[in-house]
Amino acid sequence: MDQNLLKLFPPELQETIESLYDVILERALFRAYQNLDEEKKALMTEIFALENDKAKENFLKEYFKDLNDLIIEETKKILEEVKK
Amino acid sequence: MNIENPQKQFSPDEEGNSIKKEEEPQLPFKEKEPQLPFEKDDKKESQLDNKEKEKPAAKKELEEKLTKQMDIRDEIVKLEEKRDELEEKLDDPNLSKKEKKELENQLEDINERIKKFQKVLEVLEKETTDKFSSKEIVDHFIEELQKIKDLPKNTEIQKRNVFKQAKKLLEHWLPFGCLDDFQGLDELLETMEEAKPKTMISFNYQKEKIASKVAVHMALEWEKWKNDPQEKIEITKEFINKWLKDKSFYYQAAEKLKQFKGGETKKSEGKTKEKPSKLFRLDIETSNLLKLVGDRDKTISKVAKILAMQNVSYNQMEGLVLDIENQNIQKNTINELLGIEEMDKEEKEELFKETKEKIEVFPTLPLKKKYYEKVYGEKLEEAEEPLTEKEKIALEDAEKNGNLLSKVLEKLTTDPESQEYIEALKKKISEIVDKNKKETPKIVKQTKEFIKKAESKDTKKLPFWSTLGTFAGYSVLLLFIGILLLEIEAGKNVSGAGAAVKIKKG
Repeated sequence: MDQNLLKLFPPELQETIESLYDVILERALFRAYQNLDEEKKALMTEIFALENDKAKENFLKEYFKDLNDLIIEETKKILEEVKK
Repeated sequence: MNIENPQKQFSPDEEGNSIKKEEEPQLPFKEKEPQLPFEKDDKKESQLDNKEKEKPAAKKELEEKLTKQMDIRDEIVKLEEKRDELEEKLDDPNLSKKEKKELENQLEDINERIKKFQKVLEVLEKETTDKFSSKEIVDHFIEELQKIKDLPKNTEIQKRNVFKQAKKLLEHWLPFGCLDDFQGLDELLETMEEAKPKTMISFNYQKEKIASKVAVHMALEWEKWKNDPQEKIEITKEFINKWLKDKSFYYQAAEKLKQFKGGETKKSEGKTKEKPSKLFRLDIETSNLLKLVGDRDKTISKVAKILAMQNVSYNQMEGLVLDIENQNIQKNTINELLGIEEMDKEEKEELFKETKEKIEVFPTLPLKKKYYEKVYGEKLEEAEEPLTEKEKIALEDAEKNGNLLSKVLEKLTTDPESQEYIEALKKKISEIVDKNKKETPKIVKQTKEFIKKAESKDTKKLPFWSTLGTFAGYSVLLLFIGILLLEIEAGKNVSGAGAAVKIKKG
């Protein structure tokens, strides 16, 4: 999360927002990961074991195209709970 | 009369014929809530027994009938909650075909039961209005309202109790709201607002959904509502503008947000022109979204369409339709109204029946997934000046948007009441975060750390950043937390707005 943006929120909420974002991102990534077939999952494990950020970046660009939508969906779900 | 199964006495089907007992939905024993002012309190039974004896038989009968209807509505609420749970479960992509089928069957069964209960309710409501005068029925509800007004409102718990009781009474009053031109329901909303619990995060949302529901009921009860059509339209319009505009947190917050427009002044050919900045566009966007959350325009649109299905002509309701501020919603509504007007009588009746069935008896509270999907899916498209994709994901604009929220939040977080609210919000979020911490594969955690590490760097140098689109999700998060916090200040102002609109008695 961009720290500059986070700092714009009230200090007492910053840590909470960060942990909320952490959960959202993890849930979205988990869903994106589940959508991969076994071959791609194996490939991903291999790529993320390397110290090659470019390769990781390319993999995400290619196979996690819907991550944005998933993040929005997870954000909605979590905030729905907050509103209850 | 049998409270457990009202159909043993009425047993109507759609055409008013008897339906078989085995098909009838069963009502469980009603669990008494000790603080319900309009329900019998077991502890005071002996005292009440004496009072009951003093009551005229007709009044007792009316109370019995209305209590029975309350029980059925309560049962519908439980079924609707169960239905929502099942719908959530059905969204799970890991369900096997067998599990999915089973859930679908359960869902179908619940929907059937809801429909049957609704039919029973319709019969009971009709029987009540046939047998008792409007005054008798209205007086009963006014008495119940007075009991709620007399409840203590000193602590947060007491205020929450007032809200809960008021909401429940409102739900039961809705089918009879037209008997006093919805004045009683308007007063009930006032009572709710006067006792607003500061720590109830969803109060404004709930209040506005309820107001929207009342407005829709004004349209649904059109035939039953004995008054001059033009007068009815005026009352409906005034009610909507009072609760979904003048006293609407979202509408007023949107107006406030526009004050932070940050427009650039440009001198051209001797004249000074106001050139909207990108920041202004973002303000407009956020402002439009806030207004859409408030649902004023959508409610008018819904009301107009329901009226058209009941043969109210466009000319009669033109004033109402032209009051829709969002031009896209107005345009679409007019098109749909023209379509309805072209239908023949039977088609209109069928459409009205379908619409009535789709509109739930109660507002679906608390917030449902469907709602957010609506707001952030189609709603963005409905906004008057939608941002381009490029604008949406531009980091520069994101920072400005964050700045904008920050400016507003800074103002809000200075008084002690706001701090109380923020603490409550913080606690709630922490609980949810703890609840949602799940074990995920190591590779998912690695990927998350990779993205977070990338985001913490200078994002402008990351070519894949916008492709990953993390800003969009983050933006939604920011916006919503901003809205939650905005409720403090704007909510207070809205409550104190003292809208002059009053519901006229016909």
